[in-house]
Amino acid sequence: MNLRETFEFLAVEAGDPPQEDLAGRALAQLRRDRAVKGLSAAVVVATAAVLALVWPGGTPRTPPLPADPPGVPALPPGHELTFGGYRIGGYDNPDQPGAGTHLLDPRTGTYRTFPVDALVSPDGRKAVYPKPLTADSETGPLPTDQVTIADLVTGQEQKIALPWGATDFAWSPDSGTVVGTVLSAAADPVTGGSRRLGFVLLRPGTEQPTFVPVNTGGCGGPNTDDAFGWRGGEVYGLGAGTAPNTCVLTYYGVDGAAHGSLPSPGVVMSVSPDGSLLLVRNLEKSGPPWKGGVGTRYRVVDATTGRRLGAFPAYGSTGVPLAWMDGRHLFTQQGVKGTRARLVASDVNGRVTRVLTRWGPYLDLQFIPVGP
Amino acid sequence: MDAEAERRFREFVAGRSAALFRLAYVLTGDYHQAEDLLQTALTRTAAHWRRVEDPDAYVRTTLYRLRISGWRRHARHRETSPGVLPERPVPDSADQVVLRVGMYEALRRLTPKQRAVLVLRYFEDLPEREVAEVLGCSVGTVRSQTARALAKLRATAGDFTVEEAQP
Repeated sequence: MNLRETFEFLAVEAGDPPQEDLAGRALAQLRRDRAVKGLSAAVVVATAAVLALVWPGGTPRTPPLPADPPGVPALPPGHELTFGGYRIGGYDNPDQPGAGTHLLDPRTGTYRTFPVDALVSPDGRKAVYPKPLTADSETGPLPTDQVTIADLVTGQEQKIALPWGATDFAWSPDSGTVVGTVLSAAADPVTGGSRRLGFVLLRPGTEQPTFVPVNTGGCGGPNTDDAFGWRGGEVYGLGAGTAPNTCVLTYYGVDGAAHGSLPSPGVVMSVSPDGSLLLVRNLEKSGPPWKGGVGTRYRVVDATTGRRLGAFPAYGSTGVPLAWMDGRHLFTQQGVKGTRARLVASDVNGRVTRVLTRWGPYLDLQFIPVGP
Repeated sequence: MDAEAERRFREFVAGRSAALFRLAYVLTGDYHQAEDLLQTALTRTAAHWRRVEDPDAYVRTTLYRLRISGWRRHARHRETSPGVLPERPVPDSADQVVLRVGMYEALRRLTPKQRAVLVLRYFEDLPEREVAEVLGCSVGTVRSQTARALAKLRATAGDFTVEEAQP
């Protein structure tokens, strides 16, 4: 397999661009963008009233438009929705590439902009973000050597140095700890890539991070992931199994002691609120013919035994599950050719149980915990 | 945009959309995201059309910079729906398909910046200095990102070859 050939094959696979009038759509989008920027507060208020009628299950929150930073459209258009413990919004900032994450504070209607991706804690009170990448930090072998924990209530920030470097941060469910993944600086002699060394724990208010070595070994193949995540008070991670080319999912205490493991059910995308179920992703040979019979399948499995409890259809337009809505339902984004999308609630088999939004522009959605 | 500028913009898009879409697809690996990315880049180009001297270069640079910026963040938890894809024949053997899909998956696991660096270096054949200019970073960053991306690809997809790129 040659890298250039792979890219060339991708270019051929791309086929023809959409048949729609691309120029016309771009010009129309430009006009819409400019119109949105010029909307008056009166229009926003009227829109909020309409939204309240068409989204009876949600709680539209309409910020006063003049408070938005320039070039940041509030999406879905002009508001956020609140469902099942999350504020859901779609954000984009086409005029400020690289400007980072924009969080809308519903109390003030203003945005707070972080220089890079920020991860909000489950209680909605804190956010963690890595040091913005610079030429110096990027030439080093480690992903980041410093993170900042921001208190979203007081505005105070705490910088924590990471002498081991870390990546892929995740908040614990109680918002008390952040876990990050530590990779080796030198290439692994077996895999040729970075080797996972363990995880680092960061606690707001504590300057000294804790490094916890976890010797799992890596496991290859498409259904693997280096990142550690949380299941309740435990940290989980994928590692090599005892047999060649096998992976196991292991739960660790915060001291690094293994509490249990099971054959890897796939890449863990999210854990249900009570920790009993996992949404996992598998790449497997059951896809559409135009992809050579290989496709992505999402499954819901028991977190303790790995038993399969539900599966989304292997392919089609049933949507992509994004987050747990409650213990039995998932937020799922349905899309049509990338131009229109809507959010629905689905059960563990991908069956739609409730439509949450109308069809609208396709958006990257953020699920921000509302907090207690 | 006046009528003449709009006519020229439409003419440019009609002539270059296929090539630009292919680049967007190589960058994203996803039909819908490629469509979305190109649409966003064209909209930005239209917004600055009067000041754009080389539209093709402008759109290409915008595609790369949008891709490595905040556009489509949090990809791990935000994948696009498969939707409806154009059907096309797959002439390769099953093994080749599995290898290629493994490679696609490995590419998908790269950060947008790492993938963009590889596309610029090994698909567009740009030297490190020009890659740095397109992405707005240092040559050192290009080197480290390339090394990290290749290492990550090897860790995930196993053995593959890369042809010597321009220094």
